Amino acid sequence: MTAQPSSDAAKARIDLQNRTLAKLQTDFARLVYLASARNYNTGRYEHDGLSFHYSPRVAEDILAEAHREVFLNLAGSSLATLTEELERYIVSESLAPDDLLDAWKGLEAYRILAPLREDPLVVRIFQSNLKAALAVVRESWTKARLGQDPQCAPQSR
Amino acid sequence: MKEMLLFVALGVALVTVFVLLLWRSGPPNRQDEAAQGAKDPERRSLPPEIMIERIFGADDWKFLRGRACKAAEEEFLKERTEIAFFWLARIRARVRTIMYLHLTQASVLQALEPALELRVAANYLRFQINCSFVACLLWLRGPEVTGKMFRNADLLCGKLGALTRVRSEDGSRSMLVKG
Repeated sequence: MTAQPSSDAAKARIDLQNRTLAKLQTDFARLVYLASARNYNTGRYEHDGLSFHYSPRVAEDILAEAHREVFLNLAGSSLATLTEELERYIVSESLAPDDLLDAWKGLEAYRILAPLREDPLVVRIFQSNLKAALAVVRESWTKARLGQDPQCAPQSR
Repeated sequence: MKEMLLFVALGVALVTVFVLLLWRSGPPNRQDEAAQGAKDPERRSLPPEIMIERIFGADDWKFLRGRACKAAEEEFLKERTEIAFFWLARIRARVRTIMYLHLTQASVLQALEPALELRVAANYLRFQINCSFVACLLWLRGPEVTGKMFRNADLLCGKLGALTRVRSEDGSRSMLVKG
């Protein structure tokens, strides 16, 4: 009986991986999903399906672990890789780049992507790189748009 | 004879500098704890080599240069410098804690090992000099130039940790007088 919690956790981990995270095409999408699985008032992770099948505690632990894993993976990757991830995320989510770039720059939404109790140094590295990646994507998107439409005047910075 | 006296004087000078530095730094404070970040040592974070590569590696800067607007490039460099200073503060705080624990333990030891103490003192001195150089270079030239020295500082921090751990393990066996 004592093995039950850890086996629940293992099953819940597989469930989360197979049913949810595997369906998201990029690590960036996984990070956004996992960060948004938190209740922003309490900082706790909530997931109805996992809580129902296992327990709220198991669901919370599994989501927190997955969030940290994805976050560390992206925080440790190079700016080139992060930029590529961000571009793939925009394409895979069929988002309008302008909307995303404006919203993320204006609201600084990337600040909520880090896990709550993560090493502040790693969080700063990630946020700095992400800001740079957003700037690169914005620049390449602007250039691509100018290339498509010669009438389009360059935007002032 | 003269050479031996010189050697002893050098040793005494090193120990004096070491004690002075330690006395000036005092016990680890709350700021040190904040700079150390995650308190739980078992918590998995980025491996140090990846962390150093991200902060001091030139690849990210090379990738960014010419691909983003000037303001974004400037902000990136400014943030990298801030992050590097933060990292420096953290590693200094870690060494301060190591040395404070080492000195606390040394004060209750019956039999000190002069050779070990000298090695610890010399490494501590090297670490402090290295960190001062790094801080100056960082301020003058930015993180990309100081990467190698930061790696040295990180290695010295590990070395100090290993040296003091040797004594901690020995001390826990038999040499404690008090307690």
